[in-house]
Amino acid sequence: MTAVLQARAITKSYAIGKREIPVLRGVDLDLHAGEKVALLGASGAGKSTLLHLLGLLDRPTAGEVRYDGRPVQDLSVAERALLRHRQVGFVFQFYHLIPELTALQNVLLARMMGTTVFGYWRQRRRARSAGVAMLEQVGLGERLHHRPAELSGGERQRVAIARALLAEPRVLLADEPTGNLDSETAQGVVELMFSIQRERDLAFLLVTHDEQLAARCDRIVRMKDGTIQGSRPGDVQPEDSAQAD
Amino acid sequence: MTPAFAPFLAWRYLLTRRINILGVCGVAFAVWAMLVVDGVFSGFVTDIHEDVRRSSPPLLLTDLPHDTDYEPLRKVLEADRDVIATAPRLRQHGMVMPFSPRDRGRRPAGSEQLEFDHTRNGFALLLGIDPDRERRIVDFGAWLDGGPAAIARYGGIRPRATAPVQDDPERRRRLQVDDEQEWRARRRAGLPAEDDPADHRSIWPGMLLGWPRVFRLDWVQKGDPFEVLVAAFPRHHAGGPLLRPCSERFAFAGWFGTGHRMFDELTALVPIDTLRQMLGESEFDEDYVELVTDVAIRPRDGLSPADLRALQRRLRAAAQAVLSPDCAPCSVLDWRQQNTTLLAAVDQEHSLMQIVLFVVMLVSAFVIYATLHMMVVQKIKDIGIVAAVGGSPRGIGTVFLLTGTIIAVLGTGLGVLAGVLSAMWLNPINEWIYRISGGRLELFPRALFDLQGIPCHLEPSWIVTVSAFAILLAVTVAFVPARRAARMHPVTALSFE
Amino acid sequence: MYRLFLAIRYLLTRPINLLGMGGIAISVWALVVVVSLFSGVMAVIERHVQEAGADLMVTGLPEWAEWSRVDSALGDDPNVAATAPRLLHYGLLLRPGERPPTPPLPGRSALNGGDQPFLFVLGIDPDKEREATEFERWLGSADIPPALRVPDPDAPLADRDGTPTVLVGLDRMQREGYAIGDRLRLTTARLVPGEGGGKTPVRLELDLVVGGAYRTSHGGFTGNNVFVAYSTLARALFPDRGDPVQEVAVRVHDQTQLDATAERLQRTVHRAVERDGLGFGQVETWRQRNGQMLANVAHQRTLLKIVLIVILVVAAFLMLATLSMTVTEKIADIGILTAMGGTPGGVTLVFLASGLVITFVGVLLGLTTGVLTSVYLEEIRQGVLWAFGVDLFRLDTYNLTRVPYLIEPIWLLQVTLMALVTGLVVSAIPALRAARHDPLVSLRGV
Repeated sequence: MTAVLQARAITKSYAIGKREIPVLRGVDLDLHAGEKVALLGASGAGKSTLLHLLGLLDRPTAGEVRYDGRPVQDLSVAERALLRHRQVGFVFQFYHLIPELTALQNVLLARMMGTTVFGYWRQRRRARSAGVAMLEQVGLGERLHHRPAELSGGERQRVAIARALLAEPRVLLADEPTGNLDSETAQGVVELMFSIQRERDLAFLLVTHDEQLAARCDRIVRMKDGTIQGSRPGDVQPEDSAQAD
Repeated sequence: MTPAFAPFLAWRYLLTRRINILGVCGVAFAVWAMLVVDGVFSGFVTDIHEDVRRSSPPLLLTDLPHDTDYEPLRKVLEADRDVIATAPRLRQHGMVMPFSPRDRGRRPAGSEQLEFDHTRNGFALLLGIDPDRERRIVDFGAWLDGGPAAIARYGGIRPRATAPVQDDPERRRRLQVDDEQEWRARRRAGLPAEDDPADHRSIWPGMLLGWPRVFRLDWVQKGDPFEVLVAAFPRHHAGGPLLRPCSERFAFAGWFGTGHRMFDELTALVPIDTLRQMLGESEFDEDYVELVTDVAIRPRDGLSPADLRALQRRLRAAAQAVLSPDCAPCSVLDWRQQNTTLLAAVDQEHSLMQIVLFVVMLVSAFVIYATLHMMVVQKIKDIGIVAAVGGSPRGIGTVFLLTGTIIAVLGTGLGVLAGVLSAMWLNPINEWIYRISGGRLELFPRALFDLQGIPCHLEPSWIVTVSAFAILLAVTVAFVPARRAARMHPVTALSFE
Repeated sequence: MYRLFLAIRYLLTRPINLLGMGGIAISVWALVVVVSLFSGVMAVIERHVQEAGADLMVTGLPEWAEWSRVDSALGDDPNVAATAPRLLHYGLLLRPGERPPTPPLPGRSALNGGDQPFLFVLGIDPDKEREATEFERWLGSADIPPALRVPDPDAPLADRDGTPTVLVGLDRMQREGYAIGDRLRLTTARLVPGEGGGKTPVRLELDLVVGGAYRTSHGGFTGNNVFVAYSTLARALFPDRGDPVQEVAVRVHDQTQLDATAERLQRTVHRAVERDGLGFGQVETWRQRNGQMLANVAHQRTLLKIVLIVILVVAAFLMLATLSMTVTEKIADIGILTAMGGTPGGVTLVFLASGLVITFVGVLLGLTTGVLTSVYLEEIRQGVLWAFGVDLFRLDTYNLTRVPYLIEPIWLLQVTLMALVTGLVVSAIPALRAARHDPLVSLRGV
C-alpha cells in the first residue's frame, strides 16, 4: 500500500536579505491512511514549514511532495488549492477562524471552496445539514451561530476541527492544536481528534511539543535543524525531550 | 468560474464591517452630486439650447450677396422633396426710437455699450418677416406668448399682448394693430386723428419688439408710434450705391420672447414689405426685387442627422446655382450653426463644470480604494486561512473585487435614488428655503437665469453613464488591493501578526 | 511629545493615509484654482470696465442741457476732480461709396459687438477728456502699432486739411484696413422738429479723416465707439446751440466716497437740468453701470464654490475611512501605552493629531499647488490646446490676452479654515471611539 502523502528529499530555504537560511535539509516522510504520526521537535526545527509544504501551502526548494504517489510540484496554483481543499484539513494552534463569520459559517466556508456559486446554491441545504452535523459531532450543536469572539478557546479549536473535516479530507495536519489550551480542554480536543481520525481512517500528522501526546501516536518523527532524526513508534529520546519545551 | 466562497465572504465582510458604510456613502454622495449638479446644469444648457432652437429656423440659407431676390430661391428650395416651406427674411441695422412729442428727455442712444445689454441704446437688428410664411417655419405663436410670460416673471404687470391676428391678410402681413388702438395711440401722442374712433383706419405698419427692450421702455403701450431709422443703399442709384437714411413710423404691435437672450434683446420684427420699401424697393417699380438676406427653411420632419446634412449640401448647391456665379459662397445653417458664438460660451461652462465633477468622482474612488486597501491589510490572516482551507488565489482576489463592486453598486444605487428624489424635490425645496428665509436665500438664483423654476433634466442616459462610470471606476480601483490579496503567499499571510 | 511622535509614525507606516492627504489636497487645490480663475475674470472685467469708463457718468441729459451750467454745478462738489462733456451719436462709418455687409446673425456675432458697421460716435474735448478719463492711455496703448498711432498726442482730434478727424478702435482699424489719413464718411440722421410737435430724422453725412487708433482694454467699448471732436459733432447735430451736452464723464478725488458722491451729484444734476419741476439726467458709478454683468460672474462663482465644497465633503469621507481604520488597528496600542504610563485620554489625542497632521499637510500641498496652477493657468491652457486641441477657456469671451487669476488671501484663509474644521471633525469621530475604548480589553487580548 502506498502512502497517502509522501515527502521525498525535501529541502526548503528562505531568503532573508541576501542570505539563504535553510530550514529543511532533505526530509523524507511517509504518511499512510489510518496512521497517526507525531512530529516532535524544538522551536525552529522546521516542523511548521514541513507541515505547510505537506499541506501544499508552500513549495519546497527541492524535493517532491506526492499525493497517492503523484508529484504535485508541477500543478498550477489553482490545482494545488483544489487538491488542498479535497485532501487536506488543517488545524492550527491559533484556530485561525474568520472573526466575521459564525461557527457554522466558518465551517461552511470549507464547503464553498471547490464549487461555483450555482453549484453551492443547488446543494446549500445538504451543505448546511452537513455543517450542522459536523459541529454537533464536535460537540458544538448549541453554539452554531456564535462568532469566534463569543467562544472559548477549546470551542474555537473544535470549530476549526469541524471546518478541517467537513470536506472529508484524507489527511489531517494539526499544528500544535492544543498549544494554546489548558490541559483539561486540550485533553478533550485531542480525544475528539483521535476519535474522528479512527472513525474516518485519516492520515494524521500532529505537530506537538507534548511527549505524552506524541506517545499516543502510532509513530513519532523527530526533527532537529531541518532533518528527521528518527521515526520509531513509541520512541522517546531523553535529550530531545529536554530541548522540546 | 467564481468559487462559491467568494461572494459569500464578500457579503459577510460588507455586512460586518461598518467601515464599508463609509465607502458606500462616499460613492453615493459623489453619484448624487454628479446627478444633481450636472442635472441642474444640463437643465440650464438644455433650456438654453431649446430656447436657441426655438428662436432659429431649422435651416437658414444665409451669407447671400446684396440685393438677392427671394422668388428664384424660393422656387429652387421648395422644389426639393424634403423642404416643406420657406420664408423670406431681411436683416438690417436700424435705430428704434419711441416717438415722443412731449420730449421726456429720453433719447434713442446712450453710451451703454459698456454693458452687454443692447436694449438701452435704441440700436436694433431689424428683421423683416412675412408673418404668414414665418408661421410655417418657426413657432411664431410661442414667440408671442413668450414675451408677456417673460415680463410677468420679472414682476411687470402688463396686459397680455395679443398676437396681431387680423382677418384681413393684408393687415396681417403688415402686423397692423386694431383701428381703435392706433386711434388711441395717436390721441396719446398728440398726432392728428379723427374725432370718432370708428372713422379711423390704422395705417402704421406694426413692429414687434423683444421683451427686454419693452421692459426698459416701461411706459410703452400697444399702438404707440416708433421711429425707425435705417441706412439704405438703393440699387437704382446711377452713380453706384447711395447711402440714404430713411425713417418710417411703426406702431408698437406687441412683444415677443424666444428665450434666446441675444436674439430677444437685439431684434425688432417688422413687416418685410415695409422694410423693403425703406431700403428703396418699391412694389411699383418694374424691376422690383423681393429683397432677402436669408431664407428660413423648414425641412420635412423625421430626417436623420445624415439626411439633414445631405439636405443642407443639396440646398446650398441649388441656391448657389441661382445666385450670380461670381458671388461669395452662401451657406445653409442648422440652428446650431446659426448660434455658434452663444453655444460655444455655454458649452465652455458646461465642460468646466464636468471637469469639477470628475474630480469629485476621482476622490470618491479614493474612498473605495482606501476602504478596500485597509480591508486587505486587516484581513491578511483570513487570506491565509482561506488558502489553508483550499481557496484559490483567484477566489481570494474575487472576494475583495466583489466587495468593492458591491460597495460601488450599493453606493451608486443610493446615489441615483437620492439624485432622482432631490431632482424631483429641488424646486419645492428651493421654494421652501426662499420662503422661510424671507426671500433672502435661494439655492439657485432663478432671476439670474431668467427661469421660472430650476430646470433639472435628469436624462436617463446621464444616469446610466454616471452609474456605469462610478461602478467601473470603483471596480478598477478595487482591482489593485484585490490583486495584492491574490498574490499574497498563504504562509506569510498565516503568520502575519 | 510621544503623541506627535506616534502620530507621525502611524502615518508614515501607513501609506494609505497619503490618500486622505491627497483628497484634502485635491479639494483645496480645486477650490483655490477655480475660485481664483473666476475672481480673476471678475477683476479683469472690473479693470476693463473701469479703465474704459469714468468714475462717474452723467447720462440721459435732455437736449436743452447746457455744458456750462452742468459743469459749474458739478464742479461745486468737493469730491469732483475733473469733468468732461460728451456728445453721443450713432451712424454707419464707411469709406465713401462702400456698402457694408449684411449684419451678422445674433447668434454668430462677437459677444461684445464691435463687428458691425453701425457704431457710436462720441464727441469729446481731448483736453478735458484726458483729465476725466484714461484717454491718454487709450491713445498710448502698447498694442497699437506705430503706423496707426496718433501722430500728435497733444492734439489728437485736430482737423486735417480742414476735415475733422476720427479716432477708431484698433480692432476695427485693423479689420477694415484703415490707415491714418484715410477718408471715411459717417452717415446718420439728425432729429428735427416735425409733424405734430414730434421729431423727424433728416439725413446727415459727415466727412471724416482717420486720425489714428485707440484701444481700451474693454473690447466692447473699443469695438463700438469712435471719437470725433466735440465741436464737430456739436456743429452737426446742434447747429443753433452754443454748448450742448449729452453725457458727462466725472473723475473723483476719493474713490471710497464714490457711491455717496453719485447720490449727491444726482441731486445736483436734477437741480441743474430741471424743467417743469422734473429733474433729468442720471448719475451712475462705473460699477452700477455694469452691475448686472458683474453680478452674473459673481453668481457663477458662488455656484461653483458650492459644487467645489462637494469635493471637500468626499475628501472628508476618505479621511474618515482611513483614520477609522488606523484606530481600529491601533486600538490595542492604547493598552500598551497606558501600561507605559500614558493616560488613556491622552493616548486618544494621538489619533486626533494624526488627523490634523494629514489635514495640515494636505492643505499645505493643496494651497501650494493651487496657487502655482493659478499662476500658470495660461501656460497650462496653451499646453492642453497644443496637446489635445481643446481650448479650456476661450479668451475672446471676455476679450482677454491670457487666462486671468486673482488669488485672494481671504479666500485662501477661508479654504484653509474650512479644510481644517473638516479635518478636525473627521479625526475627532474615530478618536472619540478610541477614547471610549477600555484599555484593559486590549491588554487582555482577544
